[in-house]
Amino acid sequence: MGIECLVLGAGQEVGKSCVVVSMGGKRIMFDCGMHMGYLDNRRFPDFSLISKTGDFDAALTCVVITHFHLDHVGALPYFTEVCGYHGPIYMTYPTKALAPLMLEDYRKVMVDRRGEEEQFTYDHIMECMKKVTPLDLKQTVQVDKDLEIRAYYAGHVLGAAMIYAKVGESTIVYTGDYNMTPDRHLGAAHIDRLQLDLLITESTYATTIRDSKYAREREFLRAVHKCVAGGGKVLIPTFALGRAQELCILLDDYWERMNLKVPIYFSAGLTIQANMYYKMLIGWTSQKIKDTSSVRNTFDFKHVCPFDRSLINASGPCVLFATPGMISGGFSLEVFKQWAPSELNLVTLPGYCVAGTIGHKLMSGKPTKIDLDKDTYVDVRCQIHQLSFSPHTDAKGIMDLVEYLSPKHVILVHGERPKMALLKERIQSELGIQCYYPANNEKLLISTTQNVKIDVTKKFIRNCSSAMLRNVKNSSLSISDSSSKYTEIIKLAREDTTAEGILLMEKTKTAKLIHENELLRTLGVKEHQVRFAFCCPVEVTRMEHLSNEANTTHCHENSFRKVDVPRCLATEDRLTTANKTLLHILLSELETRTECKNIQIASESLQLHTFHVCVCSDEHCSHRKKENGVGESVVYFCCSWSPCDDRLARELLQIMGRLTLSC
Amino acid sequence: MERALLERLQRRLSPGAADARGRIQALCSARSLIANPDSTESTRRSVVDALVASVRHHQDDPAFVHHALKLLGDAAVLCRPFAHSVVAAVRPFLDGGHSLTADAVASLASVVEADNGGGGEGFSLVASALDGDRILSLASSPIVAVRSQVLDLLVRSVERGRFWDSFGHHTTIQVFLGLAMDLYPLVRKRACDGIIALLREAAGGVDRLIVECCYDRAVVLLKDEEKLVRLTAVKLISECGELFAASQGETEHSEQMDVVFVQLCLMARDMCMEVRFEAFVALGKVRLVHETVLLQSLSKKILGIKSGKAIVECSTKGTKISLLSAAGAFVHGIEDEFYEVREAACRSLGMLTIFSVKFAYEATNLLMDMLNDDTEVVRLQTLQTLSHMANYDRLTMQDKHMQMCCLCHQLMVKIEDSCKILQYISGLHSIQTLEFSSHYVICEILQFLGLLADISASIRCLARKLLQLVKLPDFISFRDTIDCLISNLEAFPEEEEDIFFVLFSVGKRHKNFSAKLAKEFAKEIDLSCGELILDSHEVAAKLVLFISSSFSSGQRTTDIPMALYSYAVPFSGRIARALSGAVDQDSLLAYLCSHSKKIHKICTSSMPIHIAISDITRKGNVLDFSEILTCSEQTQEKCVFLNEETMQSIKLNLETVRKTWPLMKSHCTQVVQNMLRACKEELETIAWNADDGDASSFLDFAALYIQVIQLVTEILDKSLPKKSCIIGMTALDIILERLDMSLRRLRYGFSGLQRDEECHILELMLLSYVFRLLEIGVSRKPILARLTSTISRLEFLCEGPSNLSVFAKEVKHACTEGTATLFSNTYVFHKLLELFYPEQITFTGRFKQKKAEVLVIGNDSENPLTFVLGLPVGIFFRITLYEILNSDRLWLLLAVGESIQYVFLDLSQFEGCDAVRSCTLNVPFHGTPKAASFLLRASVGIECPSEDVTNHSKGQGWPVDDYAIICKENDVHFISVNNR
Repeated sequence: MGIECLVLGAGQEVGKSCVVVSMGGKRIMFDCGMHMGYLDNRRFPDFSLISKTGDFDAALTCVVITHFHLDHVGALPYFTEVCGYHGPIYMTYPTKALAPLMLEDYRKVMVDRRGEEEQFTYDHIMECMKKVTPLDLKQTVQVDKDLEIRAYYAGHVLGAAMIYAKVGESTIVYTGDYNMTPDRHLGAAHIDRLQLDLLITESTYATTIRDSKYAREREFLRAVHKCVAGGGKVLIPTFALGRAQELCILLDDYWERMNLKVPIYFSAGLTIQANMYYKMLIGWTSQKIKDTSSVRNTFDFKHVCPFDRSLINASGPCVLFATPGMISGGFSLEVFKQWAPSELNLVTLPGYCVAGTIGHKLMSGKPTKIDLDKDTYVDVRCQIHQLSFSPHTDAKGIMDLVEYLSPKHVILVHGERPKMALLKERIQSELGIQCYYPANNEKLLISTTQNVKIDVTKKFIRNCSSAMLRNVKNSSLSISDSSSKYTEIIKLAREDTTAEGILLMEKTKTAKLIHENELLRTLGVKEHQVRFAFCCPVEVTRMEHLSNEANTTHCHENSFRKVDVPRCLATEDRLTTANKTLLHILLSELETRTECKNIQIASESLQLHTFHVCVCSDEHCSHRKKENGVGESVVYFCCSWSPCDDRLARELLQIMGRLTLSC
Repeated sequence: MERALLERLQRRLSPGAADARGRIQALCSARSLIANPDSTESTRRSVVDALVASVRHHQDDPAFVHHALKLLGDAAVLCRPFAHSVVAAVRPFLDGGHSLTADAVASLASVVEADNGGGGEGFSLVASALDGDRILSLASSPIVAVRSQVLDLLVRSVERGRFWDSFGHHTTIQVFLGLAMDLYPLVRKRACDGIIALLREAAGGVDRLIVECCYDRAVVLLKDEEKLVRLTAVKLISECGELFAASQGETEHSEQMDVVFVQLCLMARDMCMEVRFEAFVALGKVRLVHETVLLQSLSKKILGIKSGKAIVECSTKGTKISLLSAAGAFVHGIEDEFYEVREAACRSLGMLTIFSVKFAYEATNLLMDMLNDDTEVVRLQTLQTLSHMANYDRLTMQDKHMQMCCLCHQLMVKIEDSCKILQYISGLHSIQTLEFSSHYVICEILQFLGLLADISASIRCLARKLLQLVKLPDFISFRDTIDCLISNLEAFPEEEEDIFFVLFSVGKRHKNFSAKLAKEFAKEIDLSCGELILDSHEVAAKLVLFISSSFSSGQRTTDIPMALYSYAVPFSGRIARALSGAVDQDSLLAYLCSHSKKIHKICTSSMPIHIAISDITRKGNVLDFSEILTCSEQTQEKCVFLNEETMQSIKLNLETVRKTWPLMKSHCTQVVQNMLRACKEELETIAWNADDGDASSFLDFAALYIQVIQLVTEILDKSLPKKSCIIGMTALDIILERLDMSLRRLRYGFSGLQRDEECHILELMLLSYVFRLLEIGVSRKPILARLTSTISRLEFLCEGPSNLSVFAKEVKHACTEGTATLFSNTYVFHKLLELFYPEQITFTGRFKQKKAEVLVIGNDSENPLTFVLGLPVGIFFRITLYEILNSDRLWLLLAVGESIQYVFLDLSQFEGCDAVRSCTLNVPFHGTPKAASFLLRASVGIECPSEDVTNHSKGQGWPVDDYAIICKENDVHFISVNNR
């Protein structure tokens, strides 16, 4: 069994993210984006690769959208309404709220302004959104019996999520776009430590390592302030959602602090609507904004007001946020035409501009003239500032995430091919994780490790935890405990915990792991124990005479009688006492000779681990070595022991053989 | 009651009792008997005995035994003497792997807990019940409750500093290490806690091998799934690290510590906030780390690729870890989403700077950015860190810090925060001696916060105050600072004095720099061919700076071009004022002149210069600025003197006013008006020069007085018979009203008026009433009442009717005659006027002005308050009262158009003493008009108690008597919600 990964978009490129993952008989489509750089059919992912017949409902289990950017959600209405997918769609609450805004805005720009043939209508968008099931963070959703998905906070934009999916034993995470460092309004990505087979991660900045954000903020503010102080106008072309809000927070705070009165404008429409959503979805923002929201909603900007078209040529300095971000058309282009010819003015460009847009032309060297079409051109004399705010994580962040999750395989998407190759090398060499970066429409098969499910008994689990200490206990008892007093502790710390058990494979049943103590009961067999025994003669020099006869007659019964039983005959008592004295004498002798303090004295025997010694009164004890010429001064000690203590026992017996007790 | 309870309890718990429910219930009463503080010792003892006995007999009832054991444990906590019985009762349950064992161990734990601070008897009792083997067997019990309870018992006793003496901490460590790998996360965590406590208690007495074992175990636990365990593991690592470092002695660096550091850096990227926080706290405690590793933690980029040390790997004891994992830990730390983490990172950063100069240098960059953090705690921590670095001489100045423009570094520091920060630094500064490095701190902070351009005046002021203390390192920063101050002056010309003073101090401190700047400036002047515009802030500021440098002690500086002194002469007044009396204008002028050699041409001042010059000569021709600053007494004397001088000139003016009376009566109105106007102007001039104190009260008084006289003149002018027509003098009632108001202010707005002064004012009031009676259609009765009361007051003051002035006598006579019609007779009127000849009154000026300042918080014409039509609206006022007595009744007047809402000001709400008291009030305004917007005028009035005491009734919604306005009127702007 393996995981099959079909990359329909964002393979070795940035744009139209779409990855279809099949595992355990389930097929999940992650993201359904469109490519902003193409106007032909390359704009959408090639859905025919999913199903030749076009029966997408059967081919896909579900679609999951990570966030509302068009390169992640742009093709969704087309896919559901035009291609006819009717299965479940999942996205987070903010994405569900904001995605229609983005889609509708795009549709308008495409159809109304450029006069293109429309790919989907407003009704399509609305219909599509109706099918969406909203997700909450860390909420596990059971899509069907086998497939469960869960969303984790990804930073990046409001409502962006990383998606964890699990089918049977196979687990994957699709990150979508994410940011590992917090910004002014969003927190850093946050995910649990998961056991993963596969991680599909974006790699927009596969080789860049960014510095602290503070310096970038400072640069930006300095540029803006300088321009405004000089009486110039600042044009900030942005996308309506995301970066615009961050820059707004930044500027609003700065304005407040510096007591600046220069107006900050927001081009009306989409952005204002978006701000409203941001205000409502405060729970998805960073900790700081959440904390202060009870006092003041950060998105209630004090200095920001809506823009009126008539203000374009008004005199005096101002700051204007206008869409779209890359000055590819629309309002920002209109304003750019008016403001670009003045040296006083400033245009800030977003971090990334698609080739072909004015933004891109401005970024690649400072042109003095920009042709709009063959008849019109714009004199560009204004200053250009390039923003380096990016909601994507940098190479360090990607490495950190991969290291943190430590999946078995990594697939890179949403990046540029040469950079991805470098990152792949790093991941493989530094982290030792298999890494791939398939191109579009490429299919990748990842083998997963086969896991066998077995049952375990409760007792086994319980014993796993205490097994280690038991080991210590066993080994710590040696004859001489004075030597190397730390060895067992060190052993304890260094050795891996291993739990021992017995695997039972019963017919027609799943395999079962049981504790060794349970084995006999489970199998219904009696336990056999092997013990060695030896009746060891020890010489005794008696100070006080004791009747041997009496000793022999009663000893047998006595040996099983407990000491603390109150009822006791005088002779028995005397005999027991005699035996006990003998044992005590033996104990003290042994202790002095072996320096071992671990010998314990029980009622009628000495014990050292499994080695037992008791006074033997049976003349015909089977363990006795027939020896002639044994005098009366010999007392027999019957010893028995388990094979595991054989060495110990033999040592002790040797010592005992050489002993002469005096009593 | 107690006895009855006890008996029932004993009955229920007796071995023969079979009622299981009864036993459980008996436990309840047992608990209350034990817990009740009034229970006698013998009762408690009996209860415990009964419990112990019943536990022994009912071992087969686990539910009961469970509760009973718990209760016994609690009893042991409450009464230490029971420990013995409790341990004995518990003992049988310690064997065997059932859940009651856990309860038994828990009871023992309570005994140990109760022994805290005791003689250790309880502990030894417990120890006797639990020997090493038993503990091991309990710790390896398959029941998790037993394991965790044993662990708890061990951890507690270790934390209390008690080891299991019978087998030493050897076995304890075994148990801890073993249980640190338990299946249950809380057991793992607790075991870690135990190890930490043990390492701490042993205080270095632990074998290094053991520490390494603990460390290895902790490293494994760093990857734990449970955050609590990771958290404790980080603490444990830190603890081990400290022990490693301690055992290393004074060696420069240890490879082992590098590994510890990197491990902690890794944890600084954990997904859990608490873990990150703990990791940064731990990072601060690490020592003996190699500089490369330290530096790596400040940079996300891999360092040292060129030098070939890119991959430093450390493989002690088989654990391989790349030191590169430390990359950028602190960069992430200071960017963290949670301020707790940022703060911890900042603190640790400071602690680590001690070990490496290079690290400190790099860290400063990060710390500078953190001054712009949006949380106050972090910014304060940053300042603390910086000062910590300065203390260890680790703070080095970097040009790029200095050159950063003031404007762009105040992203987030809010006003109140900056205030705190500045106060903090000032505090810091007063404690520390002015060390060279701490100058840098302040300098940088000022530069970075750009506080000079701050919106709040108090911050600007504080910032400048700090600037005075700073020693600037080089000429560039000096020039930047001066430029900053100049732009400050341009932006806030009203703060000229303060800025001049700072410039003066800065110039004095940096003699050579200012001399250099002076030369540059002199060149500019030469180039400008004398067309220098003196009337610019820049020139003024620079001149102040240049002349200041020559004020320094020691030899007279000759570096400053002479010409500059002469340019400075016109500023002498402003400069003298800025130096706040430290040097008076005349001496300064003389000093400047003596330097400029152009003394004869310029000195056209009427002031006696020779005196000033001789003064300077006495001081050795050099005004030592520091000397001036230190001898504050001298300054005070000068202030007093200055005050006297002002008073004198005011008195002179009032004398002139007095001289106008004869002229007035001879109807030379025009002349009188001119004279009065001149007086008024002169008073204004005086006011400009005077500072606060008695003089200012007197000045206000004088101004008011002159206004009264002006009004009187005007009225007289209008009532002249030659004009013959009094009818239709619409303006008259207005003037009368103004006169009335001014007189009321004179009388009630000043405390400490002398008898003569008050009499004079009362007579003027009489006069104004007489004028009133002239009005046509005026109701005479109230005026007459007032006349009578005023006269009676006069009589009281003059100690008898006989001492009244002629004018007052005549008025009294007219009143008592009852012939009110008398007054309408112009003849009588003029006769009265003739009689009115003020006494040769001289004002002492020793009185205090009752004043109020009203500030509407958060409102101006640009930011109007919103209101809903017809609904009351709350307005926040900040009211400051000066010299108001407790007996005074004050009203806040809220006027919209003609209607006025009176709000009584309860003085008990105000804080402060009689001299100054202030309070912030939220006052509801009820009469919102039906308009889109309106203007409300707020002022404070003092009630003028009528002389007629019988007529006093309080508690109405408006002042009973007249009132005098004692503050400037404030406008409050309102806008309807609908129009916003």
